[in-house]
Amino acid sequence: MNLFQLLNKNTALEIDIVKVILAAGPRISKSQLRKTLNISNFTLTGALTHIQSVFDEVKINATLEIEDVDSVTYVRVKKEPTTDIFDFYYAYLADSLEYQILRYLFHKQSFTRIQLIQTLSISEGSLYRYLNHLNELLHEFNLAIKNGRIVGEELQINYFYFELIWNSVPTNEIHALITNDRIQHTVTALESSLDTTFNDHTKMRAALWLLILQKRSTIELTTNSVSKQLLKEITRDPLFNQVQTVYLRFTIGNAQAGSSFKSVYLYLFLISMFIFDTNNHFIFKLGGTWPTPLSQIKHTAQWIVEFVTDNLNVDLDDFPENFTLRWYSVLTQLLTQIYFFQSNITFISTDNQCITQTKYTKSLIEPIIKKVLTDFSKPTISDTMKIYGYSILESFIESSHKYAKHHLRIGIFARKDYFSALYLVEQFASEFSGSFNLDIEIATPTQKYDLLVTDSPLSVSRYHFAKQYVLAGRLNALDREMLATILNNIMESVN
Amino acid sequence: MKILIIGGSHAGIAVAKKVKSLSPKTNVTLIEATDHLGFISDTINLMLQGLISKDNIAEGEVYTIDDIRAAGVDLHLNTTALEIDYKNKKVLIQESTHSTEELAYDYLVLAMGSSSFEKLDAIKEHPNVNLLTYKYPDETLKTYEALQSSQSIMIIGAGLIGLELANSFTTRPSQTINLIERADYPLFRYFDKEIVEILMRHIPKNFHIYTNQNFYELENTTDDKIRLVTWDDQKITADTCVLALNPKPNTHIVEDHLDLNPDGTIKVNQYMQTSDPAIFACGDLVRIPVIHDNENSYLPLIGNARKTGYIAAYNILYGTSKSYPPSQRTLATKLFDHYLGSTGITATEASFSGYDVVEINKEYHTYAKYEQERDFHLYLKVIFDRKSRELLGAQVITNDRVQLDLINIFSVMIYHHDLIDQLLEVDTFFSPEINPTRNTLIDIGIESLKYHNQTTHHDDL
Repeated sequence: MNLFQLLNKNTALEIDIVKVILAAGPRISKSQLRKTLNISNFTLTGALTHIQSVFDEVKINATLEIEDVDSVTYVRVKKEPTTDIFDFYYAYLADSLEYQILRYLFHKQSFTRIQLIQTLSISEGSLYRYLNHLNELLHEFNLAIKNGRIVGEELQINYFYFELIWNSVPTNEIHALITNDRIQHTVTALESSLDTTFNDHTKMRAALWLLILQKRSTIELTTNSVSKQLLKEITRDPLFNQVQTVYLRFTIGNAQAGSSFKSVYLYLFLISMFIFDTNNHFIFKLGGTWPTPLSQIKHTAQWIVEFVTDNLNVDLDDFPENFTLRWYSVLTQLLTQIYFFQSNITFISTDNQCITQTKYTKSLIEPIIKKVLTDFSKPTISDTMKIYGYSILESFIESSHKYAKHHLRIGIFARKDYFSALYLVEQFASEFSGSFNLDIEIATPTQKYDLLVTDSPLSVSRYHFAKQYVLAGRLNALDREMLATILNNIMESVN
Repeated sequence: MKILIIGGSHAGIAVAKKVKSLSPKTNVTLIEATDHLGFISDTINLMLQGLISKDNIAEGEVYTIDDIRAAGVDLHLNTTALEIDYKNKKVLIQESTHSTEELAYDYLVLAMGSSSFEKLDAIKEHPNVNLLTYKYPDETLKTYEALQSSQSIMIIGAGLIGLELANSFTTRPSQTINLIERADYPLFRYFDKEIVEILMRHIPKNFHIYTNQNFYELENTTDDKIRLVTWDDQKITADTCVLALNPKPNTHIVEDHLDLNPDGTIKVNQYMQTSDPAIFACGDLVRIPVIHDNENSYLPLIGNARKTGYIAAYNILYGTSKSYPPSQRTLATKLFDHYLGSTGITATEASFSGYDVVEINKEYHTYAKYEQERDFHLYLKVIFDRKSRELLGAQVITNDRVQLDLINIFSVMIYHHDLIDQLLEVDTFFSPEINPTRNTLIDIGIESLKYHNQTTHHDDL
């Protein structure tokens, strides 16, 4: 789900205006802005006035300034280096009635039609319209709002609320939500029990998950995605017993113990949601090559590693131990997320999220995703999860490149002088080294090259190379695209 | 002033009696859905131990109907509250099968207690499985009969109520008792593990305690038994299965109007007043503050229920001025011929409240040198905050009833926020004929000095 989908057309336009201004650099002319967004001067002027007032209201040390220079009207966003522009987006979101319905549900867990109509000051017709739209959006989470409650699989409901709050609420407000001492001490108890230290980001995520479990601690489960076989595997993991003990302590003061599955939910969260906390390898401390007790996850992760290493011609033994630890942990976490949690929430316009892999990397990722979906018996994967998963797999493939047996040897020849050649080497390296395993150097006649890149077709006869590419000057977009294709073709022929 | 109380639980009775004793002219009406008042659910244990016969089950009630009526309370038994008109302060009631009527109130007190159990995940697919409970007289009688005739019994929950029920079978070696517990050891709410481990050494051979257990199946077998399958595929079969868990608070009638906590209890302030100023709630419907714990807890003990009732009554009569004093959570029980007592918070729990604790454990096996043969043991655990040295909790396990009273001393000290050092200042009697020769309080006080950061005169030299 993209939170932009909760905004009305005018609000979404105003956020787009701010994004275009920020992307354009210090300032952009009004006419250029109008052209980029394909809107009338009247619409733009009205929108800018409203944006200015929102900036004033949210008090985030940023202003929208309009100035005339040489008869041209420019617009700029002036902000402090520490200003988080997302606070501006959050302010827009907070005004969205659909978003307010979701937040109401999060806080109260249920509503009556009359309560919502009164709280939001809307008509019954509007309420039904908003609920219908929300249900369309919730579909990708396999959830729906029915009879004033979110219904669906309980783990998914918890996860949806987590994603919603994590992605739509300013950090200081999340902090305020989780100040409860019991939650904070429980996070500390988890660290101590698992013999690890979470970074601040992880602590906050774990605390938010506990808050959600607490909010829904007495919900009776109607359906459950954790099968008997999975339960058996989870129960065998000593880590689970430790997590369960902490969870029971967390809920000790409650009138009802709640479902036993809540401790499984906490466990699943802990083994899947810390991809970006590189300090956390606690799951390894309990032994085992793969940091998961779940055989299905292990099997698929193993397949991915073998598939990538086979295709890149990498010997697994060449991976340093730290590399293996880190990536085995990341891959099992990613797969556990895909297995148990449907979709995710973003607050970045999908237009701005482009999948940047090279053709070769893409040719590896697509079979991986296909395999994952088959193994996990899932018909499809949501767009937001796809972007998330692709970026992680891309990073794994590109990091693995470094250990490939075969390196492509690239020679650079510049007719003008040595420094021009050196500049090209650096430019080439920064552009392609992430995606391909390359040895790049200023060309010498004694070396054989898979590819010679030069700014002149002349005077290259003394070099030995399989393929040649001639630049028209500095590396431009067309060069980048053509060179990526050539490198892909060479890689494919080598592997 | 008209005070209407819904629920003849221990809390409801406490409100009625307190109001009438402080202000006899106040009009108090109490409605109760059943035909009895203030039943003690421990009655089943007394029946199984032969202390109450099944024909005299009313002996498990604290007050008689006549006691309450004699106090001037307008009592309506078999009367259900159907609906509350909050705006006009009226409750629609129905007595047995009679027609409905409205009762007006100036203050409404909710004391409906707890009765129904949350549905266990495992019985969703097997709703007909017969799970026994013993909260009320009719259930108690049915459960008693079933337990009497069962060769094997399964008790779900090895907390205080589960173990107290199990304890009633200590003298019945022919019956097999299986206790199923989700936590990593029994009684984990009130005791630290090492105390419970001592108790576990004394459980009879016909007892099996399964800890760390969750289950996904609980069903009737073809030979009319009940089978439970745990997550790790253990199968446990018994003739009967008893739920020894806390029932759900009965809040259905007010859940759309009053603010509730996530666990289903009613939110109250320190005066037992709900989010509607004219409505108070008490007993098993509310969470109460616990000393040294950072949040209110659900402690469905009769003593707490009465205390919440008294506080509600006082604040209705005199304006909201008396806060509920944080509970020390003091309790004692007798299990497998051992007395156990606990007050304050446990060491494990203290870490969840942010304390850095010191634990002192003392074990005694000799009563006196001149009584070497006497079977005596006492294990006492005391915890205190390392920095402030304030006492946080104490637990005891002993085979000597008198030693159990140590817990009450610690309870009072915790109530007064005393420091561990004050153990050395308290006078306690000593008479060799009635005391063990070692003074455990002094022993603990002296041991605590090891954790004092004050340097000694000798250190300075």
